[in-house]
Amino acid sequence: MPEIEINPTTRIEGHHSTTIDVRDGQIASAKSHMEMFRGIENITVGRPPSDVPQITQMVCGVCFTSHRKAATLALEDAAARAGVFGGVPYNARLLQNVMEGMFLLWNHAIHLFTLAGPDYSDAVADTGYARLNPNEGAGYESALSNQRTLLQAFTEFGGRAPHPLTYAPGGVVAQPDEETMDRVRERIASVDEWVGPTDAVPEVLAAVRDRRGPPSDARGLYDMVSVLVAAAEEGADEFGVGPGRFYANGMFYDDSGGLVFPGGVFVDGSVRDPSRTELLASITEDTSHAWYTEESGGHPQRAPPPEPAPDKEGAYSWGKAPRFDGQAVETGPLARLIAAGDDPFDLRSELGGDPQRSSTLNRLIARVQEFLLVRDMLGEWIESVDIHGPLRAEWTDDFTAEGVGLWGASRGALSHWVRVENGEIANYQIISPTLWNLGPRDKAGNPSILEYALEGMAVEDPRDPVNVMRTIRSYDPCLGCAVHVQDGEETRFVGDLESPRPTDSLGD
Amino acid sequence: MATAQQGRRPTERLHQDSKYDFLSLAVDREPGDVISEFSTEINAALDRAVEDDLDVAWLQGQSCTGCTISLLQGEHPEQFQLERFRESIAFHPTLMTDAGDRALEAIETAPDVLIVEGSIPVDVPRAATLGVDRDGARRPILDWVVELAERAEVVIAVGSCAAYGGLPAAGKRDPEAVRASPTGASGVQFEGIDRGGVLGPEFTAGSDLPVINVPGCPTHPDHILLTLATVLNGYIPTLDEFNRPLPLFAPLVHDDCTRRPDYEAKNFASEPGESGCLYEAGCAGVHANCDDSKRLRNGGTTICRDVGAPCIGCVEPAFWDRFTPFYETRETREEIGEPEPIEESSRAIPRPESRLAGLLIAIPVCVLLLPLLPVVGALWLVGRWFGPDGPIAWREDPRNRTVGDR
Repeated sequence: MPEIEINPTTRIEGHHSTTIDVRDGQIASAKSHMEMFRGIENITVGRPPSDVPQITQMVCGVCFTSHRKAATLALEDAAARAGVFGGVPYNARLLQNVMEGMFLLWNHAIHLFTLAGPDYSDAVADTGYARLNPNEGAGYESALSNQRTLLQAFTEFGGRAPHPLTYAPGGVVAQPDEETMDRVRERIASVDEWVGPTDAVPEVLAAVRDRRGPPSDARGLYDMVSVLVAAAEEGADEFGVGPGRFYANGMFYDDSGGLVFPGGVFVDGSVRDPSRTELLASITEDTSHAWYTEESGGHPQRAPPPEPAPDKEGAYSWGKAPRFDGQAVETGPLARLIAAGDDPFDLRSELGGDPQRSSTLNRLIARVQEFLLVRDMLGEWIESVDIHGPLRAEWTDDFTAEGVGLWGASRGALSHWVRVENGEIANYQIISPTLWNLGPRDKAGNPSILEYALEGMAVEDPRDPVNVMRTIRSYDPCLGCAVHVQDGEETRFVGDLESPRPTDSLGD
Repeated sequence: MATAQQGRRPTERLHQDSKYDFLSLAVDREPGDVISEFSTEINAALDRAVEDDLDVAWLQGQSCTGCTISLLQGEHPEQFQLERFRESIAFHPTLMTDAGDRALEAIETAPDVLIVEGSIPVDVPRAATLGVDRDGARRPILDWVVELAERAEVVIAVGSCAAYGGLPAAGKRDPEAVRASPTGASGVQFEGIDRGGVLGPEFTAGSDLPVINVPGCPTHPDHILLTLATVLNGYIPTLDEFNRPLPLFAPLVHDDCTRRPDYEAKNFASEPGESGCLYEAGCAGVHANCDDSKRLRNGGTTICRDVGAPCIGCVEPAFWDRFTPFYETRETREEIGEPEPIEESSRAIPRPESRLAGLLIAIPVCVLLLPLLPVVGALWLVGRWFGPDGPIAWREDPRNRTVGDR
């Protein structure tokens, strides 16, 4: 029976491949391989805390601001524990709401149109949805143009994007004035015009189903809904079905000291919101199938220095396997909306069959729902920022403490774990959403979320496993951030230390 | 166009019937003007790549994909340019439609142009792989780059990681770094400021050019577009000492900074996010060479200093070590044996309030100097004709200097 290696997985961020073992037209087993390691966390060690947001942001050129945000949260948590930090001004949190909000819209648009969308376009799958075609589809084109506008608005506060410069421990170092705010409003208004009114969802859904063209005042919405309807027509509610366990970190600040989207865990059919202490204690990482030594796993704050082992028997990924209470859990917009108990326009109930179902279709629907929810709050956040108010609290690098930053990144639950000793980074660890979703198996052989979702899936044409690709991309994987490993002590690589050599194994 | 013919590349494959050398055209123009003025010609260069089946392959080593995402933000002049750009690249892991073997088939075994994004792990080749070889073993990006570079006409390293090693190589050159570059990350033809890297200091591609570095973290989309369109038109760009296309990387960030008057007045901010010159807050603009101060980012929206962020020197080799801690005052140029850039660039953007005053002074000065024009013109022509090598290098090269010892 064929074992198929899909290498590379394209239209995702970073290096990934998938091995599927197909028996009798079904996937008997699947392996998710993360193919890159850089050691970014190592590089933070010995550096001053203020430099860390800049460094860890560069982990990923797609989710740059998410990593910068989580890094500042981890440092702020540590400094507060050390008693040298009194908290971030709410005005700065509001500005971060604005920046994170624009970023999330940008990220979801990029995913829906350029990474996942082509799978449901006429060009790839004869679906009849030619507006989604890469290169010349009208919907794809206008999305490309609008993602630029969104990042331009973001840049008014961030200086440039990707890789902005203004989140710092204690707040934001931007200098907005009235003109800045006017330019941001103008850009967001033009994106709003492209998307159209949220209320139009039922009408647009009907228009897409009837194969009517896009209404002139809701073209963006029409194209996003087209992705969902096309996915439903392709049966995406039935494939890519995960174990139905979810974990979400919260995101966006409200004026009562809480978060607009709450964090939470959904296991055994019900949602609960564990305390921060319980949450942090429940997270572990397993290295039994990763190219690191066995001893490198454990709790991210207590694990001994991880040691890479590129020739390790049985290992197949540069990602560790994060587990919550020992179990693989799915994260992402779907997890967030399940934790929030929200299903706008009943799209997941009606189009997806069940609002809490872990399916390829529901992951796409949740992304569209979240896009609209955040878009509808963004305007209010922009108006509530006081450009004359405080944007940053006083900060010192000189302390000793541990801290954790938990944030709802666009792709799901992100955590940064830091230990600062005498003003220098002694230990750093990142657990990214993609690691939760696309990591390898654990010691007990339990598959990761993606591996679980692929196993049992029907594969009609092993040479073109389109639903496998659709499922992988439904997690919006981002592997720049899935690199791993840090520690405060010297460790050396063993094994592969060959010098560059030319080869002639290319098929020519 | 005798000078242009001089710069025409000798190889047949990329020899195009076009007179447009976009990088040379950039010498006399404001950043951004070449792309808006010659958009049709730039598109024609990309179109020919598609029509003539020129193969452009884009490989990602240890990358964050930020340079690709930056490319998507290129605005000038219209988005269709991006479409042509993408169509002209046969293999791009983030943007292409196919996956798996079908995707790999799009990589020609002898691409005309090889573009590399991300650093290359030399000590642990397995730390970045793409596809499998005939034996089913994961194929290191290192092997891909070595093999394809030898057969390519032109090799372009996009972003500071591919050019100089970048973040994955941070600490590699610093004996005091606690944990440095666990994978032995390297640039394609540089390791930090030193020539060498994966391909070695002597490497030249089929066009006799070394690897063209287009650094930045991330790279500027205009810089990629202008460099690619120029080589597709068959011209050899003049490079600086770190193999960057000279016109794009000649000015210092400091030269044309809008906060320059604060620098001259010694009005320094002590923290990022404050008013005043950011030099004491860690700005590396006096050491960093690129035209971003006037070109700006994200379709001309902003650049770092506009939001109160000091330049982190992201276009310079080994900037993760050389310019960190980021928010501490950098050494002066004098301390590293460089001339203090006292005079503002002649192309500096005047502040609105100074524009009128400038005009009032400039008009009588121009009238008085008018009789000298033929003499200046003649001197300019002579200088250009006998310049050291070709159409760009006639210009005084501010890069003819060494980086301070570290």
